[in-house]
Amino acid sequence: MVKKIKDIPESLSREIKGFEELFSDYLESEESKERARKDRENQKGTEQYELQHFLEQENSRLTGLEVLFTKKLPAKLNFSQTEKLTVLQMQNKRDTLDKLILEVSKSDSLFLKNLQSMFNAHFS
Amino acid sequence: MKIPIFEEFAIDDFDPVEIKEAFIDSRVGKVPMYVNLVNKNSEELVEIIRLLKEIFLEKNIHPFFPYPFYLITSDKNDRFFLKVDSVKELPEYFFKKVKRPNNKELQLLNKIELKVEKICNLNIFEKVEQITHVKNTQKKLYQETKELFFLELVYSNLIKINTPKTSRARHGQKN
Repeated sequence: MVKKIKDIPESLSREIKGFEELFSDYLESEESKERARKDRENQKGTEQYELQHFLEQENSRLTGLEVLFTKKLPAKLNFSQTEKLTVLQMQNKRDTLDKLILEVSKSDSLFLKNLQSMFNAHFS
Repeated sequence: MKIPIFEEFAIDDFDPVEIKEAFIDSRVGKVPMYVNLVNKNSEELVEIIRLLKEIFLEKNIHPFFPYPFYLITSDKNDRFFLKVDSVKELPEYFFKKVKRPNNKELQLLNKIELKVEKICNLNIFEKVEQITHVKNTQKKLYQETKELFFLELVYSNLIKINTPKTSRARHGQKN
Protein backbone atom coordinates (compact mmCIF):
# COMPACT_ATOMS: atom_id res chain seq x y z
CA MET A 1 0.00 0.00 0.00
CA VAL A 2 1.31 3.42 -0.92
CA LYS A 3 1.62 5.73 2.08
CA LYS A 4 0.60 9.32 1.60
CA ILE A 5 3.33 11.79 2.48
CA LYS A 6 1.78 14.54 4.54
CA ASP A 7 2.70 18.17 5.06
CA ILE A 8 3.72 18.96 1.49
CA PRO A 9 2.18 21.61 -0.73
CA GLU A 10 -0.49 20.61 -3.22
CA SER A 11 1.65 21.57 -6.25
CA LEU A 12 4.65 19.54 -5.05
CA SER A 13 2.41 16.60 -4.24
CA ARG A 14 1.25 16.56 -7.88
CA GLU A 15 4.87 16.67 -9.10
CA ILE A 16 6.02 13.67 -7.02
CA LYS A 17 2.98 11.58 -7.86
CA GLY A 18 4.08 7.99 -8.36
CA PHE A 19 7.20 8.36 -6.19
CA GLU A 20 5.42 8.30 -2.81
CA GLU A 21 6.43 4.72 -2.08
CA LEU A 22 10.07 5.45 -2.84
CA PHE A 23 10.09 8.47 -0.54
CA SER A 24 8.31 6.66 2.31
CA ASP A 25 10.75 3.71 2.06
CA TYR A 26 13.68 6.10 2.19
CA LEU A 27 12.26 7.90 5.24
CA GLU A 28 11.55 4.60 7.03
CA SER A 29 15.06 3.30 6.41
CA GLU A 30 16.52 6.55 7.75
CA GLU A 31 14.32 6.36 10.84
CA SER A 32 15.28 2.74 11.52
CA LYS A 33 18.98 3.63 11.17
CA GLU A 34 18.51 6.45 13.67
CA ARG A 35 16.68 4.13 16.07
CA ALA A 36 19.44 1.49 15.86
CA ARG A 37 22.08 4.16 16.50
CA LYS A 38 20.22 5.40 19.60
CA ASP A 39 19.79 1.83 20.89
CA ARG A 40 23.51 1.19 20.46
CA GLU A 41 24.33 4.41 22.32
CA ASN A 42 21.95 3.55 25.17
CA GLN A 43 23.40 0.06 25.50
CA LYS A 44 26.91 1.47 25.52
CA GLY A 45 25.89 3.95 28.22
CA THR A 46 24.41 1.27 30.50
CA GLU A 47 27.40 -1.03 29.96
CA GLN A 48 29.71 1.83 30.82
CA TYR A 49 28.09 2.32 34.21
CA GLU A 50 27.40 -1.36 34.90
CA LEU A 51 30.90 -2.06 36.21
CA GLN A 52 31.00 1.13 38.24
CA HIS A 53 27.62 0.29 39.78
CA PHE A 54 28.82 -3.23 40.59
CA LEU A 55 31.99 -1.93 42.22
CA GLU A 56 30.01 0.59 44.28
CA GLN A 57 27.70 -2.19 45.44
CA GLU A 58 30.69 -4.37 46.26
CA ASN A 59 32.28 -1.53 48.20
CA SER A 60 29.16 -1.03 50.31
CA ARG A 61 28.76 -4.80 50.83
CA LEU A 62 32.35 -5.10 52.08
CA THR A 63 31.91 -2.00 54.27
CA GLY A 64 28.86 -3.67 55.81
CA LEU A 65 30.79 -6.87 56.44
CA GLU A 66 33.69 -4.96 57.96
CA VAL A 67 31.39 -2.97 60.26
CA LEU A 68 29.63 -6.17 61.31
CA PHE A 69 32.85 -8.01 62.16
CA THR A 70 34.81 -5.14 63.73
CA LYS A 71 32.18 -2.95 65.40
CA LYS A 72 28.72 -4.46 65.72
CA LEU A 73 29.73 -7.97 66.77
CA PRO A 74 32.23 -6.96 69.51
CA ALA A 75 29.70 -4.42 70.84
CA LYS A 76 27.01 -7.07 70.86
CA LEU A 77 29.24 -9.52 72.70
CA ASN A 78 30.63 -7.05 75.24
CA PHE A 79 27.44 -5.20 76.06
CA SER A 80 24.79 -7.79 75.35
CA GLN A 81 21.54 -7.58 77.29
CA THR A 82 20.07 -10.70 75.72
CA GLU A 83 21.13 -13.15 78.45
CA LYS A 84 19.90 -10.89 81.27
CA LEU A 85 16.61 -10.37 79.46
CA THR A 86 16.26 -14.12 78.94
CA VAL A 87 16.74 -14.75 82.67
CA LEU A 88 14.16 -12.05 83.43
CA GLN A 89 11.66 -13.50 80.97
CA MET A 90 12.16 -16.98 82.39
CA GLN A 91 11.46 -15.67 85.89
CA ASN A 92 8.36 -13.83 84.65
CA LYS A 93 7.23 -16.99 82.90
CA ARG A 94 7.58 -19.04 86.08
CA ASP A 95 5.65 -16.43 88.08
CA THR A 96 2.85 -16.26 85.51
CA LEU A 97 2.67 -20.05 85.35
CA ASP A 98 2.39 -20.23 89.17
CA LYS A 99 -0.39 -17.65 89.15
CA LEU A 100 -2.14 -19.49 86.36
CA ILE A 101 -1.97 -22.85 88.15
CA LEU A 102 -3.24 -21.26 91.35
CA GLU A 103 -6.16 -19.73 89.46
CA VAL A 104 -7.03 -22.91 87.61
CA SER A 105 -6.73 -25.19 90.64
CA LYS A 106 -9.25 -23.19 92.76
CA SER A 107 -12.21 -25.38 93.65
CA ASP A 108 -14.68 -22.91 92.10
CA SER A 109 -12.61 -22.18 89.03
CA LEU A 110 -14.31 -22.17 85.65
CA PHE A 111 -11.77 -24.66 84.33
CA LEU A 112 -12.62 -27.25 87.02
CA LYS A 113 -16.33 -26.60 86.55
CA ASN A 114 -16.06 -27.20 82.82
CA LEU A 115 -13.96 -30.29 83.42
CA GLN A 116 -16.55 -31.57 85.91
CA SER A 117 -19.45 -30.99 83.52
CA MET A 118 -17.53 -32.74 80.73
CA PHE A 119 -16.80 -35.78 82.91
CA ASN A 120 -20.39 -35.85 84.11
CA ALA A 121 -21.67 -35.68 80.57
CA HIS A 122 -19.47 -38.44 79.18
CA PHE A 123 -18.50 -40.80 81.99
CA SER A 124 -21.46 -40.89 84.38
CA MET B 1 43.52 -5.42 41.89
CA LYS B 2 41.41 -7.44 39.49
CA ILE B 3 37.66 -6.99 39.24
CA PRO B 4 36.05 -9.39 41.75
CA ILE B 5 34.19 -11.65 39.35
CA PHE B 6 33.99 -15.44 39.25
CA GLU B 7 37.19 -17.35 38.55
CA GLU B 8 37.48 -21.09 38.20
CA PHE B 9 39.80 -23.11 40.40
CA ALA B 10 40.68 -26.00 38.12
CA ILE B 11 41.41 -29.46 39.49
CA ASP B 12 42.38 -31.81 36.66
CA ASP B 13 43.91 -34.72 38.55
CA PHE B 14 43.76 -35.62 42.18
CA ASP B 15 47.27 -34.82 43.31
CA PRO B 16 47.32 -33.27 46.83
CA VAL B 17 50.68 -31.52 46.32
CA GLU B 18 49.58 -30.04 43.00
CA ILE B 19 46.24 -28.90 44.44
CA LYS B 20 48.00 -27.25 47.39
CA GLU B 21 50.40 -25.42 45.08
CA ALA B 22 47.56 -24.30 42.81
CA PHE B 23 45.69 -23.10 45.86
CA ILE B 24 48.62 -20.97 47.04
CA ASP B 25 49.01 -19.46 43.56
CA SER B 26 45.30 -18.77 43.21
CA ARG B 27 43.42 -15.83 44.65
CA VAL B 28 41.00 -17.87 46.76
CA GLY B 29 39.29 -15.64 49.30
CA LYS B 30 40.25 -12.48 47.40
CA VAL B 31 37.80 -13.06 44.54
CA PRO B 32 34.70 -15.24 44.18
CA MET B 33 35.74 -18.70 42.94
CA TYR B 34 34.28 -22.05 42.06
CA VAL B 35 35.60 -25.51 41.44
CA ASN B 36 33.85 -27.89 39.11
CA LEU B 37 33.67 -31.40 40.60
CA VAL B 38 30.85 -32.73 38.45
CA ASN B 39 33.00 -35.30 36.62
CA LYS B 40 34.75 -36.67 39.69
CA ASN B 41 33.85 -40.08 41.07
CA SER B 42 32.56 -40.37 44.63
CA GLU B 43 35.89 -41.47 46.16
CA GLU B 44 37.82 -38.65 44.49
CA LEU B 45 35.09 -36.20 45.43
CA VAL B 46 35.29 -37.05 49.13
CA GLU B 47 39.09 -36.82 49.06
CA ILE B 48 39.11 -33.47 47.20
CA ILE B 49 36.54 -31.94 49.56
CA ARG B 50 38.50 -33.20 52.59
CA LEU B 51 41.74 -31.80 51.17
CA LEU B 52 40.19 -28.42 50.30
CA LYS B 53 38.66 -28.17 53.77
CA GLU B 54 42.05 -28.94 55.31
CA ILE B 55 43.75 -26.24 53.21
CA PHE B 56 41.07 -23.65 54.00
CA LEU B 57 41.44 -24.30 57.74
CA GLU B 58 45.24 -24.32 57.51
CA LYS B 59 45.34 -21.01 55.62
CA ASN B 60 42.58 -19.57 57.83
CA ILE B 61 40.46 -18.64 54.81
CA HIS B 62 36.72 -18.73 55.28
CA PRO B 63 34.80 -20.20 52.32
CA PHE B 64 31.98 -17.58 52.65
CA PHE B 65 33.70 -14.27 53.50
CA PRO B 66 34.78 -11.89 52.04
CA TYR B 67 34.25 -13.80 48.79
CA PRO B 68 32.51 -17.14 48.40
CA PHE B 69 34.11 -20.36 47.22
CA TYR B 70 31.59 -22.64 45.53
CA LEU B 71 31.79 -26.35 44.83
CA ILE B 72 29.87 -27.52 41.82
CA THR B 73 28.71 -30.95 42.84
CA SER B 74 25.54 -32.89 43.51
CA ASP B 75 26.94 -34.17 46.82
CA LYS B 76 25.40 -32.08 49.59
CA ASN B 77 26.72 -33.89 52.68
CA ASP B 78 29.34 -31.45 53.86
CA ARG B 79 28.13 -27.99 54.90
CA PHE B 80 31.55 -26.37 55.15
CA PHE B 81 31.43 -25.15 51.53
CA LEU B 82 28.71 -23.54 49.47
CA LYS B 83 27.48 -26.07 46.92
CA VAL B 84 25.50 -25.80 43.71
CA ASP B 85 24.53 -28.34 41.06
CA SER B 86 25.80 -26.46 37.99
CA VAL B 87 27.62 -23.32 36.84
CA LYS B 88 24.24 -21.83 35.85
CA GLU B 89 23.16 -21.89 39.50
CA LEU B 90 26.05 -19.70 40.62
CA PRO B 91 24.94 -16.19 41.66
CA GLU B 92 24.72 -13.90 38.62
CA TYR B 93 25.86 -11.00 40.78
CA PHE B 94 29.51 -12.05 40.36
CA PHE B 95 29.27 -12.60 36.61
CA LYS B 96 30.25 -9.40 34.85
CA LYS B 97 31.83 -8.54 31.52
CA VAL B 98 35.57 -8.04 31.81
CA LYS B 99 36.65 -4.60 30.65
CA ARG B 100 39.45 -2.18 31.32
CA PRO B 101 38.46 -0.07 34.37
CA ASN B 102 38.53 3.71 34.13
CA ASN B 103 40.00 6.02 36.79
CA LYS B 104 36.91 6.11 38.96
CA GLU B 105 36.57 2.35 38.81
CA LEU B 106 40.24 1.95 39.69
CA GLN B 107 39.72 4.11 42.77
CA LEU B 108 36.80 1.93 43.79
CA LEU B 109 38.89 -1.19 43.18
CA ASN B 110 41.62 0.15 45.46
CA LYS B 111 39.07 0.78 48.20
CA ILE B 112 37.69 -2.72 47.73
CA GLU B 113 41.19 -4.21 47.91
CA LEU B 114 41.86 -2.52 51.25
CA LYS B 115 38.59 -3.75 52.68
CA VAL B 116 39.16 -7.29 51.44
CA GLU B 117 42.62 -7.29 53.05
CA LYS B 118 41.16 -6.02 56.29
CA ILE B 119 38.44 -8.68 56.35
CA CYS B 120 40.93 -11.43 55.41
CA ASN B 121 43.14 -10.43 58.37
CA LEU B 122 40.29 -11.04 60.81
CA ASN B 123 39.71 -14.48 62.27
CA ILE B 124 36.47 -15.05 60.42
CA PHE B 125 35.92 -18.58 61.76
CA GLU B 126 35.87 -17.14 65.26
CA LYS B 127 33.58 -14.31 64.16
CA VAL B 128 31.13 -16.75 62.59
CA GLU B 129 31.09 -18.77 65.82
CA GLN B 130 30.37 -15.58 67.74
CA ILE B 131 27.52 -14.75 65.35
CA THR B 132 26.10 -18.26 65.93
CA HIS B 133 26.31 -17.71 69.70
CA VAL B 134 24.53 -14.33 69.44
CA LYS B 135 21.92 -15.90 67.15
CA ASN B 136 21.23 -18.74 69.61
CA THR B 137 20.86 -16.42 72.61
CA GLN B 138 18.47 -14.19 70.69
CA LYS B 139 16.48 -17.19 69.53
CA LYS B 140 16.17 -18.33 73.16
CA LEU B 141 15.02 -14.86 74.23
CA TYR B 142 12.42 -14.88 71.45
CA GLN B 143 11.18 -18.33 72.53
CA GLU B 144 10.93 -17.31 76.19
CA THR B 145 9.13 -14.07 75.32
CA LYS B 146 6.70 -15.92 73.09
CA GLU B 147 5.87 -18.43 75.83
CA LEU B 148 5.48 -15.65 78.42
CA PHE B 149 3.15 -13.77 76.10
CA PHE B 150 1.00 -16.88 75.65
CA LEU B 151 0.82 -17.54 79.40
CA GLU B 152 -0.04 -13.92 80.14
CA LEU B 153 -2.76 -14.04 77.51
CA VAL B 154 -4.26 -17.19 79.03
CA TYR B 155 -4.06 -15.74 82.51
CA SER B 156 -5.65 -12.42 81.55
CA ASN B 157 -8.49 -14.21 79.70
CA LEU B 158 -9.05 -16.47 82.70
CA ILE B 159 -9.26 -13.50 85.06
CA LYS B 160 -11.66 -11.77 82.67
CA ILE B 161 -13.94 -14.82 82.54
CA ASN B 162 -13.82 -15.47 86.31
CA THR B 163 -14.69 -11.87 87.19
CA PRO B 164 -18.52 -11.45 87.26
CA LYS B 165 -19.90 -8.93 84.78
CA THR B 166 -21.52 -6.76 87.50
CA SER B 167 -18.24 -6.33 89.40
CA ARG B 168 -16.47 -5.58 86.15
CA ALA B 169 -19.03 -2.86 85.40
CA ARG B 170 -18.64 -1.44 88.91
CA HIS B 171 -14.91 -1.53 88.53
CA GLY B 172 -15.29 0.34 85.24
CA GLN B 173 -17.50 3.01 86.87
CA LYS B 174 -14.96 3.62 89.59
CA ASN B 175 -12.29 4.17 87.03
